Amino acid sequence: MRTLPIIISVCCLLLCQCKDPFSPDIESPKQGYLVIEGFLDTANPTEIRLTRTRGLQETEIAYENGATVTVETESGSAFNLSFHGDGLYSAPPLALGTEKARLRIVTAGNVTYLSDFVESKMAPPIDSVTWERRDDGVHVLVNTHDNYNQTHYYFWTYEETWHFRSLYESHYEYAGDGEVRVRENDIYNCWSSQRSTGVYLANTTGLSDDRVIGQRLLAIPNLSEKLGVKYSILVKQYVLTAEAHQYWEVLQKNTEEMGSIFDPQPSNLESNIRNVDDTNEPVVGYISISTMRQKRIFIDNMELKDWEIHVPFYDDCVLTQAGIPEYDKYFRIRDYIPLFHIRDAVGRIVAYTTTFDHCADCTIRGTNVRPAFWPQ
Amino acid sequence: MVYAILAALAAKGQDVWPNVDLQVKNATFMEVAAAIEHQVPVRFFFDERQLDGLSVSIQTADRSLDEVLQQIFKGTAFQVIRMADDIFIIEGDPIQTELPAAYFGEAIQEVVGTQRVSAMETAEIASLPNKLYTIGYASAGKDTVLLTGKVIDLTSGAFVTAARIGINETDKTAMTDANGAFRLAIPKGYQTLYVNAAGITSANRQLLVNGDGQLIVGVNEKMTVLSEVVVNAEPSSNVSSSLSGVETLGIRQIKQTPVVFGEADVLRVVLALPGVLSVGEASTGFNVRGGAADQNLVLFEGKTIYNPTHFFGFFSAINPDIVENLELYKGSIPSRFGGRLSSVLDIAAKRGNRERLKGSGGIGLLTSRLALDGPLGNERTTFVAGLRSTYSNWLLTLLPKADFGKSRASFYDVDMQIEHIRRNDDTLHFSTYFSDDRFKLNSDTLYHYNNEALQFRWIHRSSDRLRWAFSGTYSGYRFGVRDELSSATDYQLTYRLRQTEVKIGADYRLGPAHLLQFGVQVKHYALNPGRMTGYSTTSLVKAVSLPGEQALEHAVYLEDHFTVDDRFSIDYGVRYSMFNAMGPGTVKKYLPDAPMSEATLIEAQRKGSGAFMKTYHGPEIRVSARYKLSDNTAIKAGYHTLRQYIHMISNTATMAPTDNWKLSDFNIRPQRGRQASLGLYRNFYGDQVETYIEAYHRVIHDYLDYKGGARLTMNPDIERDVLATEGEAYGVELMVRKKGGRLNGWLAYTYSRILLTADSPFQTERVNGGNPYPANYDRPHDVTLVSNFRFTQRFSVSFNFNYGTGRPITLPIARYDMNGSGRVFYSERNAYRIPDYYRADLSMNIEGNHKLKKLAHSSWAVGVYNVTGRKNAYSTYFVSERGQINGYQLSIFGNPIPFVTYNFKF
Repeated sequence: MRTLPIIISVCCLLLCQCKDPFSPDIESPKQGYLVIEGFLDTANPTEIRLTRTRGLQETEIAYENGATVTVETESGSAFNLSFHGDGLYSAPPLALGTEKARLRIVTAGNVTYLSDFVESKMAPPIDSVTWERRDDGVHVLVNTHDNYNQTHYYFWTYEETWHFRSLYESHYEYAGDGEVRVRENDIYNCWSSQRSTGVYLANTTGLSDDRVIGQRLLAIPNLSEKLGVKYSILVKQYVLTAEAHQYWEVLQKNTEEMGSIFDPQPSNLESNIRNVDDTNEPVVGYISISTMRQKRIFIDNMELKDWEIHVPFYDDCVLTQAGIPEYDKYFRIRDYIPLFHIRDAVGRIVAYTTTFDHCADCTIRGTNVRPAFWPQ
Repeated sequence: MVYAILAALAAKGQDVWPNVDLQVKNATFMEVAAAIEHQVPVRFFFDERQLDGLSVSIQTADRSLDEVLQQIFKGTAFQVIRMADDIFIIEGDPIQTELPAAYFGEAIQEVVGTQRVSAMETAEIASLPNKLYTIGYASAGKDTVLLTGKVIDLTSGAFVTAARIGINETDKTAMTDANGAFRLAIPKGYQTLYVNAAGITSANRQLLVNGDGQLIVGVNEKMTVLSEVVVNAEPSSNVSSSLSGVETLGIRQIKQTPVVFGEADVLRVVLALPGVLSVGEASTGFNVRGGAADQNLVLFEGKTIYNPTHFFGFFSAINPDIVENLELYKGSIPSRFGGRLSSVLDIAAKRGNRERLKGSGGIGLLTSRLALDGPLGNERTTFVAGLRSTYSNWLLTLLPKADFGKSRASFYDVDMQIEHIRRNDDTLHFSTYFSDDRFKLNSDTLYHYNNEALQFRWIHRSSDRLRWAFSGTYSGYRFGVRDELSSATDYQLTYRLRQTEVKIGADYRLGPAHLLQFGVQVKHYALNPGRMTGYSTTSLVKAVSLPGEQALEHAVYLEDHFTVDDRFSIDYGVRYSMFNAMGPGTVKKYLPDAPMSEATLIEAQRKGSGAFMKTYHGPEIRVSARYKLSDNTAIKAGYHTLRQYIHMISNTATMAPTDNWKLSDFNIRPQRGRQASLGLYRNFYGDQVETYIEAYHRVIHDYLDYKGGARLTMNPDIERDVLATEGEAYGVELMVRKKGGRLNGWLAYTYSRILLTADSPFQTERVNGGNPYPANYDRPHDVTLVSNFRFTQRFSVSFNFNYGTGRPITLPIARYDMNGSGRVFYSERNAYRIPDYYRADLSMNIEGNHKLKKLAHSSWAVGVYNVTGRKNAYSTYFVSERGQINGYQLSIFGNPIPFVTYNFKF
């Protein structure tokens, strides 16, 4: 049996595949290519964000500001989008009717980009957003259908919000000059939110019904703090044309699914927006017209059995005591937060139980302002 | 002097003659020999007819065999010659008196007509290198006479097939057929005949040629030779063959090349040849002279194998124990082959032993294999059977559950052949092949594929000049993908390809200068290009079947191998091939001046079963010529055109089991290619070292590449997603090879480029703005060293080295934010390359002892693959992880991988 370790190591090597960071020497295009994000919406406000591609190592987003952005219909009507800073352009719901429309962008540098005319599609409502407890956590699923068999291509984004708490509740705060007073604001209950970062698509053309059942949007892993108190997710549904779906599918594959041995190579994306003077110039983004439909659900910790949480952020949290002469040292210089008072035999407060600020102040990671949609 | 050599040879293998006990009276020598063989480990070789009249009476105990034999043959015309444990009883006058006389060319008439000549006519076995064998009676007239005969293996008595036999002074050679028979035109006078074949010791025989005659050449199996001189495994066809760009490898060379896991691997060795590249380690798909992986025709004993790989492509699916040799045609492709653009890999299976059951096999870390061969009933019918299987499934169960809990991998391949020889004029051959693979890469998706093939062949020799071969062959390939996790979208997908082929071919010898080959080939394809259904009952997946495809491909060919004179020879031929895409099916007509899409479809015409929907045809020219500048130097040139009617639809850089084959149809044109090559070939040190330099230029029309975001599986309108590109390939190959000696192997350098161009007025049909771009498998530089050093007869060390340019990839060159996540913008197609490839392997081969009476001969292969542990990038990819973009490279083998394999043979 001496060969067994060798056998196993051989198999490991064979099947694990070695995965190492790869950072090749690449020259990025100098001024970047135009990136267009957003949907033209006939029922909700339209928001279009213009940015430019940047070098792989650059972290600052390069916004395309000061452009003139117009939606033009086939019959010649035009709607202007107003500029709101940080590359954001918006307009009230577009009165396009059933007409096809296109997007015209004239940049501050006076370069004109024009999209193809695209058809206006109505999204069916979301039937339901559901969740399921599975081995690896809680899966959030979306269900929808189109009785008229006309939608076929679905696209989602979502926004998560969750109620969470700091590890310890603080009843006091430091007022300065050695004074500790009763805390008035709540830094124990906070809310945090996060937008989706992926491309969520479904295609029902291979199914006998135009029906999406249990399409998984995300999995909240076990021990996640998101489900520690109460959790909410707002799912936004858009519909796409076949071409737009293909575009997003390629985009998704190129950036999210490039892992296994047999995966194909990345393919070029063919945008439906082009520089009118140089149609070979790459442009990123695909313009679609879709009404957005949305649905929000809540998941209360009580609905889950035994949902344990583990917050690595709290791993170093310990309680300690700060006596009267040490208040300034702990609460001002060292950013400790007083939690509870400790009285001596005659009832005087002589010390406070205290901990690091990140263990007691949830506003470090969220807001203590209850969102408007959050139930009381 | 000659006697001294013989004595030295005789003494080399042994120190003393063993002692024997013998009590016989009026016995035949056959009985005596059997009695001696029973006592001591020697074997006798003699012609029974010559010794028929000999009666032996001898009473002796514990006497030297030497003395016993001397006593038996005292006063007769027979001589006793011992080579190692082999004892030859040969009739003839004492050599030491006769040879010198003949040697100086005196008294030829004396030799002719003596007892010696009659011995020839009764087919004496010519088994000695320095004895002079006289052929035929002296006659006036023609200078060239015909020598016919056979080559037999003295050890087993089996006929030696595929041995090359020739005369050193000329380049005329012949190959022995399945019966060991050969026919060779040779000049009169004193000649040195040589015989070479895989597995035997190369041998020379001295001839005095007077006229037409016969000769039976006895040769020794290689392992019985204890001499340390290893002679050429094959004759040097480097200079003499008129074909350029053809590589021949015997199984011996294949087996001593170290490969991963210690498995001798037919395709891995092919990859070490100049002009042959692969895109990565998990791939036995290979690229020849800038050709795609689907442009190689892989034939195993004449049967097309569509996916010759196992286990994610790590192993080739051909059991090395049943392989005799392989030939790779990468430049000159004879007219009898067709249907692929780049190369033909023709793997020949070995023939069954006629005398007794033999076997070989091996036990390795991941697989075991066994092969048996031998007579079936009588010596005219033989069989070969091989089986190989893996136990990796069992191994995977030993691995940590969390990481590999769902991984599965299993495969096997089976091969069987039966050959029957009838009256030496007819050979019937039946062979089958089956391989099967299943694997799961730690997911619920099961991949499954298999190859199946069978062939019936009849070779008929209707005269000494004309030989016919008839064959019927079936080859099939299928794969399935199954998502087994029960859900609304679980599915199973199946694909199947069936190919049935009938061929008639003939070889016709037209005088000494011409060999004509001609034939007719008809092939029928039937494809089920995809069927997708739900797997579980909860699945909502709609059952979809792509319409089946069928087609006929036929060809006629005629080729002449013309030996103009000693210096100049030319092979020229033409193959005319035709392809009919057949109904039932739909002919989809698109607007002529627009990209094919749903919007530009103008007519979909339904065709009935058997109706021809589209026909393509055209001639294929095959010419190659050789001109000898001197005995050891030749210039070769070739020009070839080829057509390919079946295409692999794949967007991955390597061959994957889910790649499907697609027939040409109304909209997808056949690939066409032409190649011109020019090479200089030169041998050094008496053919010990072969070298060549060859340059080529290829043009490929209508090679399929893909539009961005193409859907390649279950796509009924695949023509809308593919691009017909124009390819141009060129390169230079340098080879230095030493075949014999203690140090043998080769060093090869390849420079090769393949550039594709997809230009079109329509943006969606253009790649990189219509400019040429390198294909996925374009790797300009490649250096390969394959070497084997034999320290002793039983211990050798092999070392391999490979360096190559990394293959092209499309890399992200910029980033942007979209949908809340950082994303990457890709460069033009194949604008960058993965890091260069570099690998060295070392292995030791230790053979057990060579005692003939041993039950089984065994050997161990111990070694290390990727000695330096270099992490060669197999592929690279970029992912957005929590809003950040990270690049990774995957390497299959990131460490030195030790291996050990036990091989046996009986």
